[in-house]
Amino acid sequence: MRYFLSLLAACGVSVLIYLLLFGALVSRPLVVDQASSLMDKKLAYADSTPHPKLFIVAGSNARFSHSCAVLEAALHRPCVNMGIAADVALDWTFDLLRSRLAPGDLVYMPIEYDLYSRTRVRMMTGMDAAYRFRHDKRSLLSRGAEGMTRAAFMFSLPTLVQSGGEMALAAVGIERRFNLDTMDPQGDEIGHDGASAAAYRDMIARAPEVLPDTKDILANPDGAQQTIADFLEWSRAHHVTAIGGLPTIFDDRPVPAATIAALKGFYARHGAAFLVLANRSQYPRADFYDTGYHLRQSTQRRHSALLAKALAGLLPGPLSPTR
Amino acid sequence: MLFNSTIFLFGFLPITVLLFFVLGRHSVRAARLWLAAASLFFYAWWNPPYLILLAISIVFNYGAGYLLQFRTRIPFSLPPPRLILIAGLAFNLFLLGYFKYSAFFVENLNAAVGTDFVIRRVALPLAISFFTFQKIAYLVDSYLGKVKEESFLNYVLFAAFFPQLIAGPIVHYSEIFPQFKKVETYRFHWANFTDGLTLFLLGLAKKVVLADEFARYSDVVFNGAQAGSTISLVPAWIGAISYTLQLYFDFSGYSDMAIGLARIFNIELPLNFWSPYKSSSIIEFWRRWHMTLSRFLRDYVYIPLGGNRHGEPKRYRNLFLTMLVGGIWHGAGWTYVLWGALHGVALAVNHLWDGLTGKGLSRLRLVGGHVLTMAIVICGWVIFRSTSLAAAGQVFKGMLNRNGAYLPEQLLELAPALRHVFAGLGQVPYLGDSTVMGSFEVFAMLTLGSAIVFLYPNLYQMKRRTRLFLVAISFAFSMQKVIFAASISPFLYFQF
Repeated sequence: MRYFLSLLAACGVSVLIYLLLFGALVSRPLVVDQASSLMDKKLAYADSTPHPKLFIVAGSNARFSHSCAVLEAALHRPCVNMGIAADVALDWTFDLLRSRLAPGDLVYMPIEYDLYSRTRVRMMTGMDAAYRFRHDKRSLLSRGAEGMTRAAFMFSLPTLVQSGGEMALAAVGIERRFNLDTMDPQGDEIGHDGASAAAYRDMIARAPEVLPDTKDILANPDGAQQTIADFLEWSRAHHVTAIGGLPTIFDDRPVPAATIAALKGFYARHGAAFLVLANRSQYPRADFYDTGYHLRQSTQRRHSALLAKALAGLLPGPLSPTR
Repeated sequence: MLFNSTIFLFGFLPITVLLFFVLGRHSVRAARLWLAAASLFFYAWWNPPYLILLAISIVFNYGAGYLLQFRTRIPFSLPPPRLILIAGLAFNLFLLGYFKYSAFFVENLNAAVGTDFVIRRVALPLAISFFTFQKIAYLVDSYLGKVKEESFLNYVLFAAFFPQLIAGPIVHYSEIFPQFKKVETYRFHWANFTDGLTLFLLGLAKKVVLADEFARYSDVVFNGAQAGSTISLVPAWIGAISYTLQLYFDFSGYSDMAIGLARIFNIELPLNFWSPYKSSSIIEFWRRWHMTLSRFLRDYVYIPLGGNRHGEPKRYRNLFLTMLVGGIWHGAGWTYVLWGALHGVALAVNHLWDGLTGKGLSRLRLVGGHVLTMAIVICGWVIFRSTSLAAAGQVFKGMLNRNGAYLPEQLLELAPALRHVFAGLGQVPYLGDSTVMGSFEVFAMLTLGSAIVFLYPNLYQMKRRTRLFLVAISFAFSMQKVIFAASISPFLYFQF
């Protein structure tokens, strides 16, 4: 019996050590914590600029393939690129955004195809949840007991290994290849072109096609889709214009019309428009940087110029000076 | 029902254990009946129709065993015992052959002689390889007079006892059932319960905390090779070593869980692993890896073939054939045949070498033997894991540096000396999610896994206190995987 109680105690101690470790002791400064630093920089820009504003919301597709600097210059209104990574749950971004939106603002959402079908559970265990459990537990309360518990128990042994590595690298001053210095004030990724892109050329040539599967794109309606739908409804109620858009992918084959129709229908059901550029946001592989969702900077700017022309006709309210 | 599923952990297991001991206080027979019924339910959970197959196999083998053991009680004349044994073996091998090898046989026949026979592919019934071997052993032991069992219920419990039903250890009737016949087995023992639960939890950790992580690293490489992609030096080695670790942690973890579960019921199952990667020869490896299969192959294949009784050349032939059978037992595919042949040749050469040089234990010999053994084992696992010989060839080409040697460019910027060997790429395909931190994770995890298998004692060499310490550091990670992970993965040996 005593031995059994020792085993029970060992199990209890294990859970306590785990929670202490990931809730207070170790962190991932280069990957997870960086998401917060990037977000802080974006939000600082948003807070320092006048309304009406333009926000780009998506995963890393927003950050790499869209240039708020270009959009801002073309549309004469502040633009904030809110994209960080697809692994950052959209509800966190939307929560941060809601308090910063005002009537007349526009939110353009070129959300990655696979994000629409992300499950509710997966949304609760994104990169933001790891960060929030370590550094900002109070903010997880908005996700309820389940969100808190899932965030607390999302860490595996490799997470611990990576934490050790990242903390050591951070301690000696090594940064990720993408960091605050490779992001402009508006939150766009910059410098991802030329020589640095050459290292990925072969990989991009071989990378699998990123073509959405129409029948699956709106699967799991209670996950990310619900989050997006709630945000669209909120936007409409608060006189914020939310517009869906297509993420940038390879032009191996055109995005199926059925996929576009499905997405248009989704946005329309929640009172939002959906913008489709003539090229369906598709570009030759040579225009991409390191994945199928990341344009090189030169094409990022070209794509943003095209987008600016299309958005110009959809902007609500009178245009105002940038600052 | 997987041992690492929540339905098993929080539903089936507690109910089965509780009722077994509650019933056992009043009636041994009721407890046996309950445990047998629960075991059949456990098997049926996957695919209920296959319970019929298991039931047919049980009834037939019980009947054949009865005829062999109690032929004097039968009121009519029977064929000679040898014929009954042959018929019994033929039945078991037919079942295994039909479900496991018929499609493979027909495909190769068609390819070899240009016929176009069509055979419907049937799903492989779970555990058929294991329960077939166990029943063959039962029949042979009945024929040799080593077993006497009248009770059908007892036989069902032996054949279906759920901890070892799916993937072993492969047990003999004579080592299990005498334990079930003791009254103490039906009394709850805190020490056995806690020891069993501890072993189970540590086996679970091996599976879900370690093996499933190594699976991520190896799957990407072997799937890439199967798709015909070029695998460069570092991913090829990482894939091979990851699979080596995955298979060990997965299967030995399963065996620990099985042994732990049985101990909860006061039953001792034989060990299946004894730190196999510490072996300094391939002979030693097979004494430490899947020990109950090695024992079966030795007793029911190698010795009947003649063993070492007819001179060295025939001994080597018998070793080779035994390992070939072992390879084919694992699956219907040329990769398994080749894997068995490789180990057969390696065993024969090892015996030949020992015969020529004696069995010295010099440090050089131990270290050299260990390196050579691991090289053979790892190469063997590459063949074993690959879904085709072509895919295995792709991985071997990478391991032999025929497809280039690359590391992430950012890593080379940190350690420029590596540029003498490796070229830089932004992302190295099939290496750690193709990211720098992913690569770091892979290297660190492989180091950790290697340290565990090469440097640390196994669970059965540890004191209770050490095991409790390991529970304290692994339990939360296990529960994280079992309760909160998006999915659970089956054990590798379930496919055999």
